[in-house]
This record gives sequence, C-alpha cells and structure tokens, in this order.
Amino acid sequence: MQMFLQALFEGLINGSTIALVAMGVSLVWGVMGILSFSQGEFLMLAMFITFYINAYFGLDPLLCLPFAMVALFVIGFAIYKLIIARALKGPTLSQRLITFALSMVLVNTALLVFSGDFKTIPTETLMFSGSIQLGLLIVPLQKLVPLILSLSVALFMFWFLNKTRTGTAIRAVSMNKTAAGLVGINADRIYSLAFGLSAATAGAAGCALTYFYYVYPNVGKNFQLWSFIAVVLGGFGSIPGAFVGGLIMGIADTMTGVYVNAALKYVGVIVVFLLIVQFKPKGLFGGK
Amino acid sequence: MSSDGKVILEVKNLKAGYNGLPAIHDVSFSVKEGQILAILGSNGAGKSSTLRALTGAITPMGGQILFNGEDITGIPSYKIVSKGMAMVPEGRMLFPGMSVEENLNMGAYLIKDKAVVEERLKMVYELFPRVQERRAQKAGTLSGGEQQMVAIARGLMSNPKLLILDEPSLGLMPKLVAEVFEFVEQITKLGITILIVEQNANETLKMCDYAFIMQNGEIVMEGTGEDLLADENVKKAYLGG
Repeated sequence: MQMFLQALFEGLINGSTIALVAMGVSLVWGVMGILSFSQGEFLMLAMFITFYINAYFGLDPLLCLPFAMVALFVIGFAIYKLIIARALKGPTLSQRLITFALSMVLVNTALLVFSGDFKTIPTETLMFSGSIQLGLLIVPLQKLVPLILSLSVALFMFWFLNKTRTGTAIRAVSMNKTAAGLVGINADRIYSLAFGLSAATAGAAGCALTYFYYVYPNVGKNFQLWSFIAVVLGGFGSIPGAFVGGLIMGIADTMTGVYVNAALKYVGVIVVFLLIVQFKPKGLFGGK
Repeated sequence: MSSDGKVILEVKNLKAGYNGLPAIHDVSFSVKEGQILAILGSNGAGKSSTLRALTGAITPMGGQILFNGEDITGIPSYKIVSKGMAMVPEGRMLFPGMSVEENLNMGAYLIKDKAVVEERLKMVYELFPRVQERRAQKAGTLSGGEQQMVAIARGLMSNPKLLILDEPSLGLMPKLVAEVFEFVEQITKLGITILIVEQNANETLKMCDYAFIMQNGEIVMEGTGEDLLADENVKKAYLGG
C-alpha cells in the first residue's frame, strides 16, 4: 500500500508537468488550430530563466514563478505576432510545421547560448528541502511544493477560462470563430492572448520543474512528446482533458516503473494510451 | 408602412465575391428605420454573399455601405456589433459548450456594465420565455427551433438598431417557422429594424414591409410584400405556382 501511494505521488509529480504543457497545446489547438510543437521549448526557456535568476540573485525557483510566467507570456505573445499570425494566413502545411521549426531554432539557440551542459539549482538556495511524513507516505518537500504549485496554476487556468470575460471570449473563439466575431470579439487579439497564455503555462511547469530536475536545452523534448499523447488521450481541444491526460500519463509511467520494470516505463504509458483510445477513440473528454 | 422613416442602412453598387471572382454585382438597396426588409432568392443567388460583405466576412470589391450615414465598407466583422448592427448567422452558430445564458451574455460581450447586461437579459427573457426556461441548459443540446430563438435572443443582447437575420427558417419544421417569424414581427415593436434573408418567400413576404429578389448575384425585382405576393412571376418562380 505504501509503495502504491508513493508511486502515485511520484506519478502525479511527473504528470503535473506533462499536464501543464499539454494544457497549453490543447488551448492553442482549440483556439487557432495550430499544433504547438514548441511547447516543450517554452518549458525549457522558463527553466533557464529560473536557473539564471537563481544563479544571480539567489532567489528560490518558486519565487521566480511570476517572472518566468510573465517572461514566457511576453515571448509567446511576440512569437504569435511575428510568426504564427503570418503562418495562419498561409497554407495548412506551413501552419503545421511552423512551430516545429520554431522548436528547432529555440533548442539550437539554447545550445549555443547556454551550452549543452546539465545544470541544477544548488540545494542550499531552496526554501523547501527535507521530507515530511504524511500518513504512510514519506514526501520530499522538494517535490511536494512544486506539485502544489503546478496544480494551483492549472486551477488558475480553469478559473481564468471559465470565470473571466477574456477567458470566456477565448472559449467562445474556440467553439465558433464566426459567431465570436459577430458578437464583437477580435479573434486576432484572442489568438495572441491564448498563445501567450499557453507559453506562460508551460513556463510555470518549467519553473516548478527546476526544483528537482536538470536544466538543459533538450529538456523539453520528452515532455513535449508526452504532452501530445496526453492531449490525444484527453480529447483534442479539451483543456480539462489535457490536464487529466497528463496526470494519467505520469501515473502510468511511474506505476510501470515500480511494479513492472523501469526499462518498460514507456511501454506502460503507451499501453495505457492505446487501451483508452481503443474504447474512447476521441479521448476521454472528446465529445464532439 | 413607415416608408417615410430615416434610412438606416444604405448599400450602393456593392460588388463582392471570392478569390477575385464576384458573386454579387452592383447590388443597391436601402433599409429604413422600423422596417422589415427582406432579401429573397434561391440557393446561390447571392443573398448570403451580400450579407457577408455587409458584415465584414468578405471584403467588398467595390461599392459602398453606409450605416447611419457612416461609411462602414470593409470593416472587420468584430467591429460591426459596436456600430449597432447585430447578425444572427445562418445555422444559428451558438457556442455549443456554453449554457443558454452564457450564450446570451456573449451577445452583450461589448457591454461592460453588468447592470445593463442584466437589464438586457431580463428584457430578452420577457420576449422569449421559452429561452428563459432553458437558461441553464447547454446550447448544443437544444432543438433547432430553440437554438434559433437563442440565436435571435443573443443578437438582441447587444441592443442593436439593426438586426440581420440570415435564413432563420432553415431546417425548421413549418410550425416553428411560423413561430420564429412571429417573434421577428414582435422585435420590430421594440423599434429595431430588421433585415432578413430568406429562401422561404411565402412566409417572408407576408411579414415584410419591402423585399428584394436576387438572382445570379443581382437584384431582379423589388416591391412591397403584398405586391410581390400577387406578382405572377414571383408566384411561378418562388411560391410554387
């Protein structure tokens, strides 16, 4: 039982990062029909931003969260205006490939600027370290706190999309662009906000991840791939679906590692994915 | 009826189309305040293209559109609602995943004062009690007739001077068509001018003040509803004998 709970906790941590990246992918797809292959790189950029703020100012990574999120929002917003908005006017193929190209540019720029070394944030600068006992569980604070933070950001996203005027406009655009225009919503403005917001969400994930994970230019690749599977698992375009899909992936990953064999982790994830898609071909929340 | 009213919308020599090919040529008409004006015609006659050019979905290739004297030719569609026009699009186009009330609130997206939105909502519910009954239901789960009413109600939420209805009877059974048209007549009593585009010539002519008939991208006939209903050519072509 204890091992199960411990694995569940580790799975949630792993899954919460995938979930946040996947939510951004889902948001961008739902709103503007762009497949965001660069979401993993937004995570990577936020990790480097967090790492350098920590290195120069000694600030705890979690306190860097607002900076990382704002920086990534601005980066996402600018990328939309400079690149995506143009691609949207072009043929579908370029819309599909543009973020893929962007991801390569970002990874290679990071390699050039930051080098390919694995960096970690020194444990002395962390506010939360050590472990606490929660019932049967022994939980390292270094992982629990980022998990809580990631889940809070996800909750904030749900609140924003469902309760605010701008969030509702974003949902309206993703449901029917023409109708959204007719009630006075400027789709271009919503696209840029949604793209910025999705980058900021990946940024939050990256920031939390630095607490216990290496920082290096290719770090986004795996999360990117997993997040796509999570989006399909949850139902394309459904943000709650992407969130739940991400958590399932993380849990499947860790459970296979613990109960079967660490070498078969990825097989476990894919088997869970295939099983769910067998019975719900449009994903868990993909009604349409 | 109110033929001496002020001209609210004026379309002059409008030309528009797709990929450089015009679908409508030289379309001119005007709508007077308080009127129900209809544009009739069969599929592909250019009715929808006219509306799309009016509401900014396609950019006109020539001509001019004046609303309340202001030139609005080629403005983006998200700006038309702020000018005082609301469009109820063909196929309803509700936000399927939102509740009926959320859909209505979206209609008042540009009104920032919550008290005003509440007031509009109350007014719309009074006009459409059936919509109020369904307020919490997801719009995607409503029947076609109910969806049409919600779509009209959403159009009214922005407090428009001119309400444009694109084929409101499409896909509805005759009983519901009559019901929808009855609502349209009620709306004019609120002082809202109506521009309606329809294929259902019979019902529309009975209700409208003035109508234009389009064919191959041009206006081929015009007149009051009664006159056109009595016209032999119209009878043959659009009223089934």
